[in-house]
Amino acid sequence: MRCVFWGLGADGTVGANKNSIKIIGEETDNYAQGYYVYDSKKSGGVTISHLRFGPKPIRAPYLIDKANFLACHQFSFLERFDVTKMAAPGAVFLLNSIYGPDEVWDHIPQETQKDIIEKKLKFYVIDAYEVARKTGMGGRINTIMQTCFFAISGVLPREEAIEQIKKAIRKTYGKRGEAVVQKNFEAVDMTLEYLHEMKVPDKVTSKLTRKPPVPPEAPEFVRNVLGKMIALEGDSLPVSAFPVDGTYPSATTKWEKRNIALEIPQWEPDLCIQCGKCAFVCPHAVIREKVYDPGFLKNAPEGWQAVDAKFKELPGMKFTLAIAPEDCTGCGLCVEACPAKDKSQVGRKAINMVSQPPIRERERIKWDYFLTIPEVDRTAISVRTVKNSQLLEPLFEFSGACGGCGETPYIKLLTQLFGDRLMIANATGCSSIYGGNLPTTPYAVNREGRGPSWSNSLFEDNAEFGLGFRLTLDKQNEFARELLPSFAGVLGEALIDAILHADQSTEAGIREQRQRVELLKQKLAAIKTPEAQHLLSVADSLVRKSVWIIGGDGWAYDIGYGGLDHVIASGRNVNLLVLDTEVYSNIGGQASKATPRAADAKFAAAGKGLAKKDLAMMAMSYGYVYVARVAMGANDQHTLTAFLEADAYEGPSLIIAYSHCINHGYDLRYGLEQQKLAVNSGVWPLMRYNPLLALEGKNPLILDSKDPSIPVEQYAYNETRYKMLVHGDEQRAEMLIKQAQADADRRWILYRQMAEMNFAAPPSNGKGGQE
Amino acid sequence: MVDLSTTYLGLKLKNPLVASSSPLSQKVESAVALEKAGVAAIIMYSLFEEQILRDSYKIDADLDRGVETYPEALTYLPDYGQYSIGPETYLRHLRNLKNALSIPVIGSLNGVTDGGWVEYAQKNPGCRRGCFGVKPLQSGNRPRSHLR
Repeated sequence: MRCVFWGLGADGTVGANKNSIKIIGEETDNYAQGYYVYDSKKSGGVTISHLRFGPKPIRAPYLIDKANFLACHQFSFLERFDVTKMAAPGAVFLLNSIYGPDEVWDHIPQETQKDIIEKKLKFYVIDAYEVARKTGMGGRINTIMQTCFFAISGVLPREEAIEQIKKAIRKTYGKRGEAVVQKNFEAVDMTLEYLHEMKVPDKVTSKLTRKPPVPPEAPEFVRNVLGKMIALEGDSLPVSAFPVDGTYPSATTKWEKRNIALEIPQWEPDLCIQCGKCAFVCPHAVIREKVYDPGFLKNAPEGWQAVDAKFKELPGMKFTLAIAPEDCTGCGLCVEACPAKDKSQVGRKAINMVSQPPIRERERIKWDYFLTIPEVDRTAISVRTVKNSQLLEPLFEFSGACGGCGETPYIKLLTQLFGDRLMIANATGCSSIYGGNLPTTPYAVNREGRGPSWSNSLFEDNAEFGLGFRLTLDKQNEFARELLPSFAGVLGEALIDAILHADQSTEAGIREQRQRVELLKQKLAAIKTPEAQHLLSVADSLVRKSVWIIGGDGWAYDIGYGGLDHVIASGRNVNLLVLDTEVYSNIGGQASKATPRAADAKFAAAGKGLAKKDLAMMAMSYGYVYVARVAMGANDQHTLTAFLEADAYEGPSLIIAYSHCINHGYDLRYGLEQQKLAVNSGVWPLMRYNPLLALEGKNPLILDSKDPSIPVEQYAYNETRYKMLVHGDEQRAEMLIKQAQADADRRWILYRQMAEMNFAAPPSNGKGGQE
Repeated sequence: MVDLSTTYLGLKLKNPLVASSSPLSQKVESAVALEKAGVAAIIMYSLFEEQILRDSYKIDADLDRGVETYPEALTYLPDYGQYSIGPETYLRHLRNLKNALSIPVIGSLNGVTDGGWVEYAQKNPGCRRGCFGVKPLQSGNRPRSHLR
């Protein structure tokens, strides 16, 4: 028997199939085999399980292409993939359908209907989501679909199969409490009531067709190469289709409309105060703002919403907040961030979650129109406020990160502030997977075609890799400056002088320098001497770049720490951003030196017994490194200020950013609230250490959060990474949380004392200031 | 001295002063102080059935969130394999109070499911000086008996 199961990541399909293999392998005389194909996306990914069973040993080390049992656990896959391609003639096709047996046929695309008819498939449907909802299973349909499989396939007698499924449930979930076991049992018992065998019509009647993986207007490479991969047909691509040098075009996630959110945010203009907080925290850059000329309202599509813009630098303009309906993951962080509440309707805010399918088409048309409206002139506004910063175009969008990711909002902000002159060296980890993984790239370009350049290096050398960017740029800049004066006769002294002494500390200054360099390049192109061509090749380095070295705590605290230390000690103008999730997130939550005491992690499964390393303190010890510890959920303005100061500082900068994470064990919708609690408990003191202040005789350390106001426990025990130890070893949990409280208290006192030191009269008598 | 002794739920009390369900019973020291102050029995702070269910559902949801999706991280949290989700902590504290006090200690259960509380009450069969008070919260809850 050959079985293929299409599942949506995290719906439990793979886990249930692993259990089925155990049941059949252990309880029958059959042999069993399973292969599992996973996705590189961390949200809304596709899993395909290939299972073989039979009375003889199975010698088939390859995937199934002709299944006699095919199950599709997610109805929307029919719109995106050729799901029944793998069905053999006469096979069983089991479909999880949100439509009942009377209406499901007409919601199936023509191509799939044709396949079902021609292959004479035995067609079954079940609304597993309804069963899951009624039995309190949420989105987990694993045991329901597993019950269907055994009921239809007849691998075991039905009664025996159900008994074995329940045995497996007790084994898997029994340790989590009887209530969990019982709700799974209820789901199994209710399943067969909802399972229907369909009488297959003899002709195709659907008005729907399967959608192409990318729209026809996508670039050729996206259509012919990336589109194939998106349709899960990448294995059929010839080697010759791939870029010879390994570079891939950026701005390609926008073609991959994944439609994975059941609910998306909807804007309520009457309540909105245009603060920008929802867009600021959106991990997938699906919430955008624009301020524009009222003339654009003339051709706006039906349902377009706009209000008078409340930006003092941009009078007489309109404001619209738009949502990309097909790219949202439905995490809800935006709703939690929104401060504008309806006083006449409890729970209504200026942005609220609503069901996606009914509004998808209308919102898609609005989104497309929104993209045609020009971006705000970056030189017309100050970007130093959260409100204004969100008028800047993000050049990092629609990544495959987890829904509600705590890392990606920081990267998105970087691209908004410095995107078209940003160079990123990215350590391996989550940020390299969602940042540069096939088939699509979330780093994007603006209308001028400019965007961040990005490359990934190893854990152990990423800081040095980024330092190489800086050294190269500096050398190119030095060479260009050497060459420029020799062209005074041809280019004119005024232009050369302006280029050499340009003030590039503001957006306006950078734009003017870009224009000068463009003029320089045009003039040099006409001069055919080797010197002119040398200068032409390095002219772009005359525009100020922002070099950022990015990675997680596994890189910065552990494996790449030696390099990080070496690079910040170099004194060079690089910026290091640590996306601190306090574990190795990408590989499933192993403990790092950033893992706090009392938290559970893999390799620290009894709760970590040692305190978190204070990387900020170590970096501050140099005295010439700009250091900041930020948490945008606790103070978004502080985060923005730190990013701007780090970029402006002509030396090494280190920013450690609190990043809530799926490894912390709670619904990430509440990630921002947890960030606040981390700060309020003293676990994550907000601070900036700016060496420039010391030069002015001021204390360089500024504590940006108030004295701790809640116990550590109040923050920690909202997260299962801490709480599970209470259920596992209560005495140890109690001991560790007390120590964690002491850690936080001690660190706060130390920071406060340091921040209160008087830097006005540094000791200069050779006796350390002592008389 | 006037004899103030009485009975309550079949328990003989030296006087009718009973410390009702409150946070004062959350620490052994404060319970001892209550006894020294003269109370004849203590009703413990309440254990809510919803608390137990919530803990159970939450750990289940959190351990399963995002699993088996992405090949490099099939799970995100370590799984102990055994969790004391339920009344164990409460019952352990009840035993500690019993050992520290000479007056009766009465557990307090708030049930929301029909008969669900019985399981928790039965988990402390060794209790001789205590009993459980049961507080049905909805009309549909029909506690079948009081346990001693």
